[in-house]
Amino acid sequence: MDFLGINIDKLLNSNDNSNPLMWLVWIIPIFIFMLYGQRIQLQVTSSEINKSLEKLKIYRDETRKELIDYVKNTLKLTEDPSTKLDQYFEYFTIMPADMDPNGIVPKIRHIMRTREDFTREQVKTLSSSMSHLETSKITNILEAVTTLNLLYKTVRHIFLTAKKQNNFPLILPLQMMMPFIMEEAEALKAAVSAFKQGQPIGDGIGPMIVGKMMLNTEKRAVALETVLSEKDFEGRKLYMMKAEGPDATVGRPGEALEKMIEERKPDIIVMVDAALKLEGEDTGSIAHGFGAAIGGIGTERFQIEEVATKHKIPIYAIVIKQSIKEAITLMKKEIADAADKVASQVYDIIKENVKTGQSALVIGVGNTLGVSQ
Amino acid sequence: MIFSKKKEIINPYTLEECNSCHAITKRKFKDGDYVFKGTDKCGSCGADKMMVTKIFGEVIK
Repeated sequence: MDFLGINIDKLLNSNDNSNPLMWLVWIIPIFIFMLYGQRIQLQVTSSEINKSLEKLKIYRDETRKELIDYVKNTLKLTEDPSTKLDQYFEYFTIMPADMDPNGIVPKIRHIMRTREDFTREQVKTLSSSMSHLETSKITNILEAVTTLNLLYKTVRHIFLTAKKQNNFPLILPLQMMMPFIMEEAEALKAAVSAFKQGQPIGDGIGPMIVGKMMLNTEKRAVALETVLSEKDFEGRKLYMMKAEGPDATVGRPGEALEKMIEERKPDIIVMVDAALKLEGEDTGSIAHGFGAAIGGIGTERFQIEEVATKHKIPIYAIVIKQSIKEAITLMKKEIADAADKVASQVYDIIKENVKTGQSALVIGVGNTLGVSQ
Repeated sequence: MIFSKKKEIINPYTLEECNSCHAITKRKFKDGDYVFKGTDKCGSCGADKMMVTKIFGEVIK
């Protein structure tokens, strides 16, 4: 081929090391990537994060709309609750100073309780005729929307800062964290539907197991939204504790245990809870262990551990494995089916570790939405 | 795509058990259902002791 006197074959001949055009073809991209590689990578990563950010915004807006519609339709409100609810979405919590961590747990507990109590009271002001169940459902949906709002705003802040400063190292950890953030956001979005309909969620498996053990016993309130009952089991005294269902609440097992110990001391504590599974583990699989099986910010666990250590009470734990999404959305069949097996294992632990005449406390930990007792 | 996720559709179901004859019935979830709620008469033995024992979601395949 010879166009306009240029021999293309000769010009692009890769065997000829002295060809200047071939040198340029190799060297120019190397220089471009040396000088602008980070910026190109920043652009590619930015577009991926931007897509996720858009999704987060949609999730936040949709759940907000769902909550407002739910409040309007359920409470038959005449005036628009949007302004009031929008104010709640922006609530924040300032954690206590931890320069001297001694005694920080009661401070955290106090702040979190203040927030919980205040939110509950504010939700109650939406309608004077609201039932306790509705209050708890709305409070939980509100918590989901607030968390989604916080996630969206935090991701947006890091993303915009990195873009503004062309700061590639800042965007890298965000890129790594995005799949986890999106998993949590998707779970929160899906959770709203279960909360609206009052359906049990995966986290409710602990209360469901203990709730069944509590059937046909006399229940009494022992702490806020927490009930305790007792029965005899093969010559042993069995105390059972869970959040008061079918409301959407986790109760206050730490405080309840502290109060209960003042009256009677169990010889062992068995805690039944949902636990996050590792990738590859089966949903609904059961694992046994030791120590306080309870999630959350850590204040309840601290309180239970304090009481158990002070009175030298061993704590046994049984957990039912599930993903974060399964834990806060409608309970899956695999999880519900584990209930009977776990109940029989609880009884086995009691038979093996509690002598006749002694007593055991079984705590069903988790959100008891849609699960009575 | 190798890692594309399939969107799952989950239907809620309620399982009721008769405390008398232990017959189990499965039906679609209704608003107001909750676990351990006393419900209708048993279709098998006619006893007035049906109770919701489970509420769960099943993935539509």
